[in-house]
Formats: sequence, structure tokens, C-alpha cells
Amino acid sequence: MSEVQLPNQLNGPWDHLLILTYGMDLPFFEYALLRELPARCRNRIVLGDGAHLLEISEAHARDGLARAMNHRYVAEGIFSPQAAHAKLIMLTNPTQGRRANASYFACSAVFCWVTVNCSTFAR
Amino acid sequence: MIAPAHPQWITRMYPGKVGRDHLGLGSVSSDQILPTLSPGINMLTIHPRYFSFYVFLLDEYWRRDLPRSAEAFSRFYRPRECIFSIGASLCERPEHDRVTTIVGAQKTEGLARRALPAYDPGFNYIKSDLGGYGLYYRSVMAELEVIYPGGPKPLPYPLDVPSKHGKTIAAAFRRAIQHTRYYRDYFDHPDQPVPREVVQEYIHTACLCQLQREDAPDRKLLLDTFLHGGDARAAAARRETLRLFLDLTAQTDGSAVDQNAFRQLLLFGAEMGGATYTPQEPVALTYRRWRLYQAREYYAFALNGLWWHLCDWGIAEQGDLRPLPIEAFHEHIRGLLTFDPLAHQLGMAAPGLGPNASFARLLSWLRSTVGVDEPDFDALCLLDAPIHEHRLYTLAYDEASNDPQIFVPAMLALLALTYLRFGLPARWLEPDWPIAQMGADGRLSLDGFVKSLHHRLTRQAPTIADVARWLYDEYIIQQHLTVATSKLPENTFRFQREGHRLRFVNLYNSLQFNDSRFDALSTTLHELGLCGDLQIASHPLTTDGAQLLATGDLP
Repeated sequence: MSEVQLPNQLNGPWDHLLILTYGMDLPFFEYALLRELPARCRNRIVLGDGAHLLEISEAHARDGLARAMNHRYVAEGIFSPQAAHAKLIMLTNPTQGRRANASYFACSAVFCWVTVNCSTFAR
Repeated sequence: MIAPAHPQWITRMYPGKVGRDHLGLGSVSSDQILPTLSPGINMLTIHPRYFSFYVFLLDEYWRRDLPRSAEAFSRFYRPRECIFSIGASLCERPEHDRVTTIVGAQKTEGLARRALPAYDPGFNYIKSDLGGYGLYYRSVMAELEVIYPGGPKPLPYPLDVPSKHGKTIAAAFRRAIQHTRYYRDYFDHPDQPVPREVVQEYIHTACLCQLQREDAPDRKLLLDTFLHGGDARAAAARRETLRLFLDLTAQTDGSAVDQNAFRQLLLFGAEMGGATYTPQEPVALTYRRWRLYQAREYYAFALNGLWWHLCDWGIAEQGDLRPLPIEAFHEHIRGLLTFDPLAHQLGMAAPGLGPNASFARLLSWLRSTVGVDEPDFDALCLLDAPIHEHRLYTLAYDEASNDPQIFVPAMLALLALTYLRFGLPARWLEPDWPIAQMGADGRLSLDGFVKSLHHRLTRQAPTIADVARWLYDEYIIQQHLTVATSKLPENTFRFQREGHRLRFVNLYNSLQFNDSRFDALSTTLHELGLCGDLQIASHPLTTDGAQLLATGDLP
């Protein structure tokens, strides 16, 4: 079975991007993944674990590495009694979409071997 | 409608790369400071005669009725540079004694050594389409206006063309080789093997080493190029640096000077081999700029050393398997901040300084080693001092560098010495100080370091451990993350932050100075016929060299 080059999955005629993840490696998202998105994809949302987001926000306030956060994309935390660790990438436009869900992925420059389930859908 | 989906592995992308310059310190020197000090001569453009040879090839190409395309020029260029490269490897002229870095020599040297009866110009001597011209020299030849670069619009020409001055240089080089059998009988037949004796006859006058001869027809033209070519301000800076090197050459005649000695002469005015240097007044400002460059190299070395130790610790603690708390590293560093082992290693009395001692006490101890107050420290902390930058740098390569009890305090002491030399506000107003300010745009300038430390020392009373924590947090960890992030998608991370922890990557790390352009500058001076080879003990100035040193220019 062929392997998926995950960043390439972001290419396409998409208007909307939603990423659910646990650890939000926002510098990686900004420097490596955002460039894969088409310019028309203006609605970009990254949701991650709320407690973790607070922790990394503190670090990024000092290091300035997540410069485009809440400018070129929205990053927000999911605050729940347990850790929020859903992993999903959803790309859509009015007529079609692509979804990838996995056990661990996306926002890390140190990629791991993971399984991913990619599907495309259309109206 | 949903297309069927199956679980798949994702490809491992962005594998870790060894990379270089992980704190972005080297790029400040190579991309900002050195181009300011020696514009048009970089570490890869060693031999000035390549200017003549390449512009000659370009001129010969334009003189022929050939297709005007990059491919056609490459087809014309490669066999002729191949023969030149083989020839330069065969050269037996007395001036050729120490000629290195011949383009393509990695492959042609072996060929030359086999002493074949004839050489194939079609031999694949280098990967690049335009050999050494495209890889190294083209950009500086354009900078010095020997060629006008061509290419896709908006460039005015489809291909590079020689400038008017470049054509004059090409004509002079042609005069040097026009009577050779190679030029007469083989130059226009790149499909024919060239007999070895023909190559040797050609290189007898064409070789890189022959430019230094008084009778080389292109020498004066290249001298003019290096002294006046390109932007007027850049040319003036280049002249000043060449003059400084000539001053240093004249004063060190009798002692071989290599890059290591050059660095010591810049900072201390003396080197371990015994040569000394005191700049003459006309080159004093240029010397001070170069001296700041070298001070910055020691500063960068110390920061890279601290970074190197962090990476080493992370892997030793298996931080590549699970992230390690940053606080645990700070605790580890606290345990190393005792300066007695370092003093013992240097043969000095134990200062009794530990992590809780104030940083000011560390500075006092260093000052006491040369017995002076702060304003005189820079003038008196020389090579005969018991502790100085070069000793600490050398120590890092010794067996002792395997001992973090010595290595980490040594790197901190190196930074403290930098502060003692340059931490006085009056120093920041002097005309050479802009060199220290380079790197302020997102990198780590020397200026920023001494001013930040000065601010901390005047507002607070930080301990040695406080300063080490500050350096690691802001100058090492944050800087590496900033630099590695800016290189994405190329993955050169050695560690990544995961909340308050660091996850490490096990890849090779090196610790060394960046090239100072000493080899390129000293070889350029020598091959332009201005002085002997600095790396040989006897290196007197020629008449031209003495005149350039005395007047600052040549007609």
C-alpha cells in the first residue's frame, strides 16, 4: 500500500481548512504547511488541547516563532476535563472536500510513522 | 458521494539534516561582516587569474557564430575549463609550489598524475554546467564589472557578456596564450584529445600561478580591477583591506602566517609563533574593524560551544527518546559552574567561584589576571596573559573539552572576556562599532550581547548561574529554534520545544570557526604580484605592494 505524503494533501482547490490536533507545533504549521495551502483557502482553523495551547503560547510570546497566529490563521484551544487529542485534517470547498484522520500527525517537524485515513467526498 | 478510504502510513518527510550554523552566527560573518570588509573577494574566489580565464572564455564564445543559449555556452565552456584544470594540475612552474583549490582538481588531479599521453576535453571534470565560473566566480566578476550578467528578463542580455574592461582583460589573457599550440590547433576542436605536452606548453603561460609574474599581460589589468572595480564604496573598502593585509605582510616577513596566526594577530597583535603586528596609522581603522570581526568569532565560538554542550547533554540523557525538562538542564549547568577546575587546567590559582557567586566577581577575577582596571583590560589582556580568548578556544579542542566541568566554564569565561574588552559604553561610540552591530536583525550581534549584559549588570547583581540561564534561554535555546524554524521545510532542528521540555535529535554537530577569507585574501595579494606567499616565512612586498601600502592605491 502506498504511503501518503501528508503535506501534499493540503494542495487543492480548498476554501476551508480545519485541523484538530493535540500538540500544536505552530511554527511548523506556519513555515512548512501554510505554504502548501492555495491562496484561496482563507478560512484556516487549528484547534488543539487547551492546556497545551496555553503552555506553548507562553513560549511563543517570548520566542516570537508563531508570528502569524490569529492573523493568517486561527488557533484556539479545546478545554475539556480530559486532553483534547482528536487528529483530523478537513479541507473543503462548496462542492467537495478531503478528510484525513489519524492517530498522530501533522503539526510536527519530527514526523512519526502513523496511520492516516484519507477520504475525499463531493456533493 | 464518498470515495472509499483505507488506512495508510504517511511518508516520513522532512528528515533531519546535519545542516550548519545552528545559531545563525556564521551567516552574520559570511553574509554581512566579511562582504563589508572584503567585497568582491570571498572564501571561494581564491585565484584572481580565474577572472582572466573566465572572461577570456566568455569573450571567445561571443566572437564565434554559435547559438546564444545557456546550453550552447556550457558546451563551449566545459571542455576548455577541463583542459585548463588538467593543465593546472600538471603545472611544474616554480611559482606553482603551493597552488591549491584548482576548480575540478578533485577529478583532474588524479588524471594528471597518471601522465596520460593525451587528455580528453570531454572528461566530466565537474558536475556544474558552468564549472567554477558558475559556482564561484561569476557573481564576483559581475560585482567587479568584469562581466554583465545575462539571463531571463529583466536582465538585458540572454547570456553573460564581457564588459569593456572585461574584454581588455580577455585580450590580455589571449596575448599570454595565443602562441601556444593548444590555442592555435586544439582550442576550436574540443572533440580532439589534447597531447600532454600541448597542455603543458599552454599551462606554462596560462596557469593561475603565472599571473604574479611581472610579464603577465593581464596582471596590471587585474590589479586595477581589484583596486577600483565595481561600486566605488566597495572598491574603497577592498583597497583598505588589501592595504591592511600588506601592512601585516610587511611586519610578519620572516614568519609564516596561516589563518590561525592571522586570527591571533588581529586580536592580540601577536601570535604563538612569535610574529607580531602593530597597525600603521593609515590602516588603523580598517584593522579595528577586522579586530571586531575576530572578537565576534570568539564570541560566536563560545555560544556555539554552549549550544554544542546542550545537544550533547540532551542525547546523553536520551532526550531523543522522550522530552527532557528545560529546568533539568539548568540544574545540570548549575552543577558545572565552578571555575576552579578551569583555573587548575590553565595553571592558575583557584578563584573559588561557584554558581552562586556574582557575575561581577567572575569579571573581577578575569581582570585581576592581568592586574588592571576595566578601561585598560583590552589593551593588556594579550597572548602572555594567563587566560585569554585563544587559550580558551584551544582548550575546547583539547582532551579537556570532553570534561564539561572545564568546557562550560571556559565558554562562559570566553564570553566574559568579550564583555570586558567591549562592554564600556564609550567603546560603542567609536567608528568601527557598526561591525559589532551587524546581526541585530534577528541574529545575535556582539553589540546586543555586551549591551544586554551591561544592562543586567548595572540594574541587577546577577549570579554566574543567572547569566548562564539567561544565555541558554535567550541566546541558545530560543535562537536555535528561531534559526531552525526559519530554515523549514529543511529540518535542521537539534531540539524542539514541547511545552517546558526539549526533545532532542541525534545528529552530528561540529564546533569550529568560520572561514575568515584569510586564504583568499592572502592568495589574491600574492598572485596579483604584491607580495610573497604569507604562508611561507619569507614573504616580502614587491615594488607594487610597497607602493600600495604607502599610498593606499596604485595608478
